[in-house]
Amino acid sequence: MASCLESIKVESVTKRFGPNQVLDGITFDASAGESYCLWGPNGSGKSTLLKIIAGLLRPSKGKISYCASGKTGAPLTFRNNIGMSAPDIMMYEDLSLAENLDFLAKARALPRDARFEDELMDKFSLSGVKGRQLGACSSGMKRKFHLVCALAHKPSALLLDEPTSYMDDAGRAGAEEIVSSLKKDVILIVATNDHAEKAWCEAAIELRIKSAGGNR
Amino acid sequence: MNYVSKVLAVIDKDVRSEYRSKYALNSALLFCVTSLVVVSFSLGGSVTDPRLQAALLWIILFFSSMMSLPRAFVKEQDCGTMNTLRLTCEPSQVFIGKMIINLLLLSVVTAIVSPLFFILFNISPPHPGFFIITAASAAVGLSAVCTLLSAIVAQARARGTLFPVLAFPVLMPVFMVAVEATGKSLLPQSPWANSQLLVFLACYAVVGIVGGSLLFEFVFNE
Repeated sequence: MASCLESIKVESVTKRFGPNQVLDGITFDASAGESYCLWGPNGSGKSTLLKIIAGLLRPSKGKISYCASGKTGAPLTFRNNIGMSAPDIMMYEDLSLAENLDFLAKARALPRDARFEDELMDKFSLSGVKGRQLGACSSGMKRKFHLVCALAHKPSALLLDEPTSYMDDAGRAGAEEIVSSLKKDVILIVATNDHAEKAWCEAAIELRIKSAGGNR
Repeated sequence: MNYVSKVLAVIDKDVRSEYRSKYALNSALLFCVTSLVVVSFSLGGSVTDPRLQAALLWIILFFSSMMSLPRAFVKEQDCGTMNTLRLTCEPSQVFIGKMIINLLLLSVVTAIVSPLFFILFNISPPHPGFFIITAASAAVGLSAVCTLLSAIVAQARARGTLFPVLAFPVLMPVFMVAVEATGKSLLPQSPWANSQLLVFLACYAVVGIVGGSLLFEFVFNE
């Protein structure tokens, strides 16, 4: 695991796409062991906020800062601490599941816990298809694997966007079990519309749909 | 060592992916061979001026690199894996890895197309060493610059047309000097008196790599 993240500060984050205001002055502070749910209808900016928190999108105003071992910085300077799973963040479909995990481990150059990876794969019943190309897996299997990839390096910030969508009941139960066992040590932020996923978190941040003129 | 293994991870991933899809290599080779055959059939043995021969060879290589090199990032963007790279790799690691992949691709294409060109045009290059150094240093410069440009255009909608438009002014100097140096290598007299051309190509490659590494972070993290 990379050096542990102590907190994520979200300060007055605003995001506009052209004339459309998606986020307006979102502020919160998440510390290790805390879990937040970004809750709201489609189009309220949950996924956008999660991407901004991960450093994949730049806010129009405001800033995100990560704090670890007394050092503060932008999200991507702590990329090894981030584990993110989202429907539009894909893995390599030409590669097998094992090759994808290999790539992630080698590219991060962090100490690898093969036993933990195997446990995750077992939990999602993916061990038997490790050698299969990801492109040949079903949508549900892909979602499970994306979650495995987000967790494999034991991140200290877990950013999950609709993590159990497409999953079967066993997959949902496995995801809940894993996240529940990890959440006391990590900063967990889940963007969802699903009540079951919302229940993983201690607090909810409610987002509403904005229009150019303000709240609809 | 850590950094090298991180770069190797990016290269390994792309080589495996290209080995399975063979998309970039096949499209570049098909383009090169087709245009080579068309040019050789239409011009036949009428092109005897070494400078003109060199220009024909580099036009084919230039357009094949326009076709295949942008794939480095366009594929990542199209497959939704660009954000995975952002969350996993440092920018310089990605730049160097992708540049080496582009260089490998261009080297394979050049290594296949050049002998074929010499056979079809009935040329026996009198100074193969000078030609190889020219091709190698031009390939490094082309790869470095095309890697940076490909990251810039990957996020644009009109990327197919944007890449050649952006690449044309930046690659023109290396193209012109590569034509000049290749032309000299096809003349009977020794080309080594024109080694300043090779120095230019080497300097262009170094500037491409250093400038690309410095600018890439801004493109990649946006």
